[in-house]
This record gives sequence, C-alpha cells and structure tokens, in this order.
Amino acid sequence: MPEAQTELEFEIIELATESLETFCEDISGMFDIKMECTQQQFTNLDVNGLKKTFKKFAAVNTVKTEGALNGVFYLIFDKAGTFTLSGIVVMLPEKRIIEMAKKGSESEAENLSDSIREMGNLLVGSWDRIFRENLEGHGHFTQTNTFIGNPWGKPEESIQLDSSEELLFIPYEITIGSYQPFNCGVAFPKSIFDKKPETEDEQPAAEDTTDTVEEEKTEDTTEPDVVSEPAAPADTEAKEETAEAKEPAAPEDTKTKEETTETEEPAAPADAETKEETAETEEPAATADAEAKEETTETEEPAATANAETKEETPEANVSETIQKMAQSPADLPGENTLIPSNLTANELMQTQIVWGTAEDSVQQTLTNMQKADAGYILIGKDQIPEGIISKSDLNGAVSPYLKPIFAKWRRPLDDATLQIKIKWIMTRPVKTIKPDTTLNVIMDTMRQFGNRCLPVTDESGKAIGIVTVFDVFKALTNNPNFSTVGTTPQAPALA
Amino acid sequence: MAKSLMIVDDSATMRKIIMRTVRMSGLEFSRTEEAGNGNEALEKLNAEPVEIMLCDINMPEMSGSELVKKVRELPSCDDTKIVMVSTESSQEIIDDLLANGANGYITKPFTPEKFQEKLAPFMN
Repeated sequence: MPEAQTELEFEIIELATESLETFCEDISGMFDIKMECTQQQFTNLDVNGLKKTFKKFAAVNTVKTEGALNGVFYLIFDKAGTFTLSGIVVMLPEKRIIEMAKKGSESEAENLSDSIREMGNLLVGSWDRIFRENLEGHGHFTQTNTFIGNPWGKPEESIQLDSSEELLFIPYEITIGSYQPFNCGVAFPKSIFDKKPETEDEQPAAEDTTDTVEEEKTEDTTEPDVVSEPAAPADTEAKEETAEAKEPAAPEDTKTKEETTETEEPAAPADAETKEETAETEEPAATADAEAKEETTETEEPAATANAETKEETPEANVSETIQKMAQSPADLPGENTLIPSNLTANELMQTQIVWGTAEDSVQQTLTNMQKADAGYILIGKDQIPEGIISKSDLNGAVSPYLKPIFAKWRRPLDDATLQIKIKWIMTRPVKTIKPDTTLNVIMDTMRQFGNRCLPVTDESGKAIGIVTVFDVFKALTNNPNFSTVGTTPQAPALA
Repeated sequence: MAKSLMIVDDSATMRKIIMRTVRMSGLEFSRTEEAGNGNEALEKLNAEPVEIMLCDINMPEMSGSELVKKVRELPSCDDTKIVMVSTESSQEIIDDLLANGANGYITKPFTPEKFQEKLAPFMN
C-alpha cells in the first residue's frame, strides 16, 4: 500500500507541475505576458509548514476532486502572487500592481476578490484539463472556495483543512514579465491518495466516433492544442528591472501576439472548409483564408480586366507596367463573361437521389447518413419540403478537429461532445431552391450570387425532386463543346 | 456584416476578460451586451436579440444550462448561436448543453485564437 501511494504521489507531482506550466502558458496567451513557473523541492508538511511559506496572507483556492483522487486539495498563492495575478487580470497599471504586491492589504485584496476568484477558476480549468488527459480515472476538479487573507489561524474554518492533516506540498516560483517572482504551491492532504485510481473508461466512444470522421483528410494542420514549445529560461535581468523602467500595462492594440501564435493551436482545418463556402467574408489570420481569398479574387478579376481594357495604353508605357497588367489579367478563357450556349436545365442536370435528415438529428447521425449514401449534402425537412440544407463542410466545421485520427493523442471528451450538436443549430436556412426548368446559366448565376454549391430543385408544390451541385455544373460545362477548354491553350491577352 | 454579441457571466472580471480576448481575436461585433445573470440576459434578449451569446455555465440564480433552454424557447432567438464558456468540462454537462441548444463551448482558460476558431464559423 505505501509503495502504491508513493507511485501515485510521484505521478501527481509530475502532473501538478505540468498543470501549472499549462496554466502559465494559458495566462501568457490570454494576457500577452510571459509567465513561467519553476518547481521547487516538494515536501511533506502540515499547516504550520504552509504558514511558514505563505506567512500571514494567502489566496487559497480549494479544489474538490473526484475519481482517482478523492477529497479536496489547495492551490495557494502568496501575497505578491495574489496581487500580481489579479492586477494583471483587471489590467491595473504595472506600478500599482508592484505596490500592491509589496504592501497590499486584505481590504485591497477584497476589492480584487472577483478577479482573484476568477484567476483561481482559470487555474482549476488548466489543472482539470491536464489531469483529465493524463490521469487514469480522473473525475473532475471543481473550485469550491477561494479564501483571501490569513487562513492559518483556524484552517478548519477558513479552508476546511484539519490542522493535524499531513500534506504533500509542491512549491513553485512564478515569474510574470518583469514583476517580482512570487510563490505558489499545491497542497494535497495525504488522505487524498488513499483511494486507488478507478479506471473509468472515458473514451469508449472514441473508437466509434473516429470512424465517422476517419475519411477526413488532415491537410496542412500543424500542432494541436496545448502543445507548446518549452518555455524559455527566465530572464533574470528582466526580473531585476524596476517598475520605473517599464511602461505601464500595454494597451491591447500595442501588444504583440508572438507568443500566442507560437504556442496555440492552428485554426481548425474544419473551419477552412466552412469558410470556403462563404468567401465574401474576410476573416484575418486563418489558414483557410487562402482558399476563401482565391474565390474572392476570381470574382474580382473580370472587373480588373475590364478596367485594363478600357484604360488607354500609350506606346510609352513602360515594361514593368505591362508586366503588372499581365499579372493582373487572367488568361482569356473561352466563354468567359459570356453566356454558355446551352439549353441544359436543372431537370437534366440534377441528381434525383436525395438524402434527407431531420433538424433534430445529431452531427454524428448525419455524418453517418452522409457516408452511407456517399452524399455531400443532406436536405433537412419533412414531406420532401426542404427547411434547411447541410453540407459535409458544415459538419466538418461543427465537429472538433481533434476527432481526426492524427490528433487522437490530444482528443478529449469535449471533442466527442461536438458530435452531439443538433443539425438545426448549424444547418443553412432558408434554402435557396430552383425550378426544374431553370437553365444552366441561371443556375451558375444563382450559385455565384448566393454562394451556394448545392441547389435543391423543387416542383410546383415546393417539394424537392433533386439537387444540382457545383459538380453537376462542372460536368455539364466540360461536356459542352462551346465551353470546354480541353485540348486548347488559354490565350493570354495581347500586350499593348 | 458584423454580428451582435452578448456575454453572460456572473463575474464582472470574467466578462471583461472575455470582451478583451474577443477583441484580441480580431472578431468585430456591431453591438456588444453584457449580463451578470440569466434573468438579466433574458430581459436583454427579449428587448433585442443578439446573434452570438457567450455564456458561463456555473452562475447563481440561473445556471448556464437553464439559460440555454430558456433562450431556445424565445422565438426571436432561434438563430442565436450560443457558445458556452466555462471551466466546467464534464462530459455529461457538455452533452446536456449541446443537446439542449448550445452550439459550442470554449473552455477556460481561453486565448484569442480559441475565440477566433470557435466563433468565426458563426460570423458569416
């Protein structure tokens, strides 16, 4: 028994350090400030030992734990830590934070109690995440109380800790930006280790749900969540800088995001596909934007060409201007900006096999249906009346990218939960429909104008009798001798 | 077109942090509202619905879960996307929330990138 306990304790010490490091990374990302922690020598002690470390002032977050660990444990910050962290959270000026970290009173801390509590809340969030991912049988961490002041007089009352309780204490030194380092620590009552871990299979559904998204391609995604580079060594010189040497807390717009861009996960690949469909919007910084912008460019280019053509060219026009124009001008594809000489209608183009779903279906059910039918779109509605439409891209956008097999290592129960999102919350509605006699030109116009890649074809009573997708249009175009470019070379515009 | 946003959290500090982080994410909203509890949120939604709501789970008076159910009963909020923001991450609770009308979740601590990732699909 003691041996097993020791093993568990060592495991918990490792996880505690990883959790606090994660918290530091999280705070660094949230507040654009460098935060690092260094583990000190862990020890067994009692309340008196804690008192020596934290003296007469501390912020003690009581955390209830269930599962592998049962009971409560304590995440404790000293006075400097309490004021520094909460001051950063509410964006107090740096000078003020430094003053309070040295001389702050309990009443001043009381004024910051909301942010101190929220900081504890964030802390518990980071810890819960790491323990859930790494500790078999871990249930849940819940922040039950945040005590601010001197808890050591009557710890039974202030933090519900028996003063005779033996504790495993892991101390840390934390540095944030150029603030003075401060102490924090985690105290685990020894009794918390009494219960052996219960193996609760948290991810039984993982195998099944992986299958549902297995066929997804993983494209160019980089590192997933919470994978980060090791923190750089603490800059000891920076620590010694005085408050006067530093500027006040930087306003939001002047802060750089270098750290966050390095450490945080990339934009979800699924988003890329979602955005693809709505190229009109311009969201910055997403990898998907490349594709979205491509589409935008396509729609803008003809106008650019027109301008180029109408502008009077002079013989003196220099070479670079000509090259610039060439670069701006698309190849002169046959049929561009002209109507396709085609009598094809939706009736001839449409796929008559429609896959139907209901608004109450889950994403998982819909993905399964889509895969079974090998369909790219599902119509949502009753009695053949389409109320909404959902595409594979919509579904990919709704589910967590960590369900993909390549990210299995980082997969969490939360990710699985996205499979339970109801279709009604993500489907596109109202549905743009066309009639059976709608011509190919009108179909293309409609798709371009409304950004749809699938148009249900409805009869006079509004019932869907088929769908026309952008691929049906492609097929029609490539089979059209008046349009197809197969076997011909696109012509570049003549130089001036 | 920019959307409207409501942040529901009983902690004024957390509302401020969320607002700040949303701004850092680069997402732009035409209107932003804050509510300190579920009742205040419903009152404001009744007066003027929003398109995206960020909602805490653990709140006094009315939990985030209850609030989601009530918002879904409001016909004017049919299209409101609700994203839960919480440290609460037990599978059952998340499942329950999603089944009852939440559109997504963001776990605390969060980053601007996380908001960008989760909210961008709703911005179109």
